[in-house]
This record gives sequence, C-alpha cells and structure tokens, in this order.
Amino acid sequence: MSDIYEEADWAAAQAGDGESFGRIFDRHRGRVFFHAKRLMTDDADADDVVAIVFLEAWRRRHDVRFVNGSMLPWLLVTATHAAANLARSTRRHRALLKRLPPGEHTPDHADAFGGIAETALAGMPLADRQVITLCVLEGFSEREAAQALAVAPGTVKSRLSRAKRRLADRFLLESLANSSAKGVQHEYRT
Amino acid sequence: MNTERDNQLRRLLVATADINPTSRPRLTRRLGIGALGAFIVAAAFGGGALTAAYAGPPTTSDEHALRAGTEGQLGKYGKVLGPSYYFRGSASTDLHIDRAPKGADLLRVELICKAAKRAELKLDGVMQQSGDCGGSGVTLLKTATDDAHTLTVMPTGHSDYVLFAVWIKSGNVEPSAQTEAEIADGRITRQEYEYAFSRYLGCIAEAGYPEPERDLSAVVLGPSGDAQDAAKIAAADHCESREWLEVDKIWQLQSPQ
Repeated sequence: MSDIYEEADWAAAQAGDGESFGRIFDRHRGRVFFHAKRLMTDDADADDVVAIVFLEAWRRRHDVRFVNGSMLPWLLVTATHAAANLARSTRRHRALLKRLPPGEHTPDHADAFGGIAETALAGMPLADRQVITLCVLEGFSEREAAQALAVAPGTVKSRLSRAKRRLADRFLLESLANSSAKGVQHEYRT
Repeated sequence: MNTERDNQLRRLLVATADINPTSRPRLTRRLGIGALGAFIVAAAFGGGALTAAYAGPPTTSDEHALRAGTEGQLGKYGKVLGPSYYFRGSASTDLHIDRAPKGADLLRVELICKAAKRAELKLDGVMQQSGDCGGSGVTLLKTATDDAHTLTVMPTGHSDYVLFAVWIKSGNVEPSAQTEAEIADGRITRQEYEYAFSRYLGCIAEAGYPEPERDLSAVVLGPSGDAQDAAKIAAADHCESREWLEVDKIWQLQSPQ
C-alpha cells in the first residue's frame, strides 16, 4: 500500500527532532482532515479533530502502530475515535487547542449534493466505522486494517462483513429519505 | 494549501517534540547477547560479517532497563510475557524468537540505532520496517502462526544497533459483552446509557481512581477527562473502551444536544 517508512521519522521525533514530527504532519494532515470531514458536519470540528489526532499521537507516542511503514492507518483510526468522542478529546487538549487560530474554510458546493454515504457512516457504531474507513474508503487490506487496529485479521473480516451490511441498510434509508425530500421539492417547484 | 491554523499547529507539534524528547536508556557500552534465551541462528547477510564477532560480554542492566521501560509503557493493562530477546551488533543478524507464550498477542520489537544509517527489519523473511535508522523505534508485530520466529535486522553499512524484542499481552481492549449487547441494534436507550456510565464509574473506581459524584440527569454524561498522570489516563482509556465510548457515541448521535 505504501512505500513510506515513517518509523524513523517517528523515532527521531521521540528523540527530540521536532521537524521529523512536522514532516509526518505535512504528509498526512490532508488525508486526516478529509476523513474528519466525513465524520463531522462542521469544518471547525473537523479542524479540532485534526489537531487532536496529532496531539494524541504524541501523547500516546509509544502506542503508535505502523502499517507497512506508514502511520496513516493509525492516524485515521485515532481520528475516528476523536470524532466519536469529540467533547472528551477536546477537554483533554483544551489548553493547546485554545492556542490555535480558527481555520479558514470556503464553502464546498459538493456538500450540498452529496454526503449520503458520509451521513450513513457517521451513524454507525465505532467498530464498524473503523473497518469501513480503513478497508472501504481508504483501500487498506484486511490484514493492514488488522495491524492498524491491533486485532486479528479474522476480527476485521467479520466486522467488515457486518459493517457493510449495516452501511448498506443505512445508505438505503438515507437515500430514500433524501430522494423523498427532493421529490417534494421538485413537485413544489413545478 | 495550509492555513495559518495548520502552520501554527505544525509549529506547536514541532516544538512539543523538540522540548519533550522521550527518555531512553543510554547504551554506551558494547553489549552482548542477553542471558534470557536470545541466540543467533545465522549471520551471513550483506557483507557477510558475523554479528557474533561484535558481541561483547553480556550486560543485563541495559536489557533490564529496556524490559522495565516496556512494562512501564504497558502499565497495568498490558503485560510482558516470557523471556526478552536482546542483541547488540553492527552487522546483519537473525535472531531466533521462541513461540509466543500463552496469552501473548504481539511481539514488541525495539530497534535502537546509534548512528543515522538505514536498516531493515524482517519477521520470518517478511519486511516489517525499512528506512533511516537513527534514534529508536518500537514496532508491534502480530504473528500469523504459533511457531517460533526469526527476526532479521539488516543495517546498510556498519551501524551499531540494539535489538530488543519481547512478547506482550497488549493493553488493547475490546468492548465488554454488555457493551456489545447494548450497541448491537444501533440504538441506545436512556437506561442503557446510564447503566453503561455506571459500569464505567465502577471500572475506574476499581482501578483506584473513583470519580466525584456526578449529576446523572444531564442529557450527555461523560468522564471528567481531567486525568494528569499516566496511570490514571491508562485506566480511563481502558474503562472507556470497555464500557463507555461506543455506547456514548450512539447516544450522542441519536440525542439532540
């Protein structure tokens, strides 16, 4: 999946080379934000999730897991956790978050027409969201997801199967609700 | 394009790592093969140098320091199991690792390099890590078989390194059976929500960190989140994972805030 071997950067960061941490941030900030946007309706919350993910990486620096040399799967898993319990995560890092200025965001027109899958995903149990994120949305293999989540590959397989069923059910419900709403709007306009 | 917030966050992270380096045992002496079951089964890679030629007399203090450091990081929720495997050298090495002791689920490998050279780490011939090898790094490996294993370190050029490996029972926690049952239908009743919170409170109290009395009438309940010491944070993470996080997430999603 990845030819980036980041253990050395992470080891260097832990040894006091902050710029190595900066490089990891540069490499993955975009993907983490994109994932956070899937889970949060508010851009400011997604910004907070990004900050919390990297602050948590440092707080739990001995527990960070690498998959094929990449820290990204672990960061995505942590983002899902942070988004799932944003209030508590924010409390933990409140002092540092307060030091950051607000983010600058322009309206994303795609948001107005899409997001059904994201809405369905956000409503799923945490374990389901983790495997859907890694295996479906980010394209990691079940084995890689198992490494990122520190569970057996068989656990990922069963969770993924269950999660796909639930996602399909939720997606259908969201689609029906969405098309029903659009239908009403359409009839009103004509 | 990065925003000013991104730039400031980056500066914050860089400064955090700059001023808070992880303390590691200093390895200043030439160290040899650890006494606890480590032995070299082959050393004929790369330039063909034999790692045994660089081995000095066993000094267990550093090995003990590494093991103690591992135990400290795992806290009370993980456990080091079986012997540790320790080697110091500067050439390619194969290290024989006995099969996992009962209860172990991960092989924790720490590769500490003395100079900024590249090194590769393989388990049973499969690449696990490759890149610059300056400083130290921990890799957690989940093994697919119940057999003995071979850890291989292949440094590029000559670079002193220390390899420390040990089987562990990781501190990763699955939700409790009660939590699994509550989230199975994707809905959480108020009764289930309060019961999950009471289980969390019981868990954290049992760990020695009782929380102050809480107002259970609030729509959204939550742990205090003010833990400062590592042991309490480890306990809170453990208890939340077991009893609280998944239930709370569903509740917050379905409840108007």
